[in-house]
Amino acid sequence: MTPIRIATLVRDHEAALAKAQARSADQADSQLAGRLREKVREVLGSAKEGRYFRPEQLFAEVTDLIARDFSLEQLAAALKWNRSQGYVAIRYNEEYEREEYAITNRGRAYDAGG
Amino acid sequence: MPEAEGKPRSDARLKLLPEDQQERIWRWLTEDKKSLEETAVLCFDDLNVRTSRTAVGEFFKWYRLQLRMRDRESRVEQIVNDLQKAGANLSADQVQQYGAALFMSEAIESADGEGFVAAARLHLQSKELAAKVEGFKATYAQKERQLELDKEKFKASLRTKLEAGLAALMDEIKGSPRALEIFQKLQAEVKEAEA
Repeated sequence: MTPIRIATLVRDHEAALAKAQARSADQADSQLAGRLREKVREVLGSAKEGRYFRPEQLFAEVTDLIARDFSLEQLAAALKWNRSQGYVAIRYNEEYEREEYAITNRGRAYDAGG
Repeated sequence: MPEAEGKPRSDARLKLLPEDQQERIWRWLTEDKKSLEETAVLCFDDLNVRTSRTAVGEFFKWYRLQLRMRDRESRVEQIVNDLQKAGANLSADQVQQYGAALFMSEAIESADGEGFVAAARLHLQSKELAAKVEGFKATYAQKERQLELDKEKFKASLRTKLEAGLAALMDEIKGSPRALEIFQKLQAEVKEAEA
């Protein structure tokens, strides 16, 4: 086997490896996103009706459930998705200048399998 | 990946068990220090529920969250009761508002319930005081407006009386150039004073 042929094989192998790693990372991200969506509802749904959560409170509780590192952006994306489905209500507290979150009846019904 | 509406979750089996059975699982894990695998076996043997190590682990974290939230709610209830006992006289709306605020508060996690009640009472008192001050300010502003109005009315009536007096005087001095001259000076003085 000539040196050029070997170099081509090595390059192809490295490219395939990088592709596989990217695919695996995408899958892991997608799985994490799904779990975050679910855990956000789980935390909010553990409180009685009308109870809202502070962002840091929600972050801490979701971290405890998920036992994995995630960013605030990923949590925000999970909240956004749940909100788009009508599962989570978000309100702005002007006194404290922060968003607060609660589960909706639709969110509760969804997790109860109804 | 969107989740299908109404699809039952795979780890929901343990979470849907009756409360006494959930408590048993919790005790196996905490008091009896059973491992996740052992607990999964116990679930099958004692509760006739087939489950896995992972599902038991999920259940453990979920149940711990439920206990934490129950504890939080009972603290909220306790503090609101203490506030009522301390003479706060909260309306149903205020109870709801305070409950919601307390639920989100970090102080609820500390054992300092008495301190919180004291702080909440102070907060309430300061709000009442602020309301009284606002009420007083409004009354004062209204009185001031009334006073301004009265002053305007008085000025107008004075002006009318002066004009009437001058008109009467004018009738008296008709035909006397000297008196007319003095009258016009007096009229100019009055105009200047009004201005």
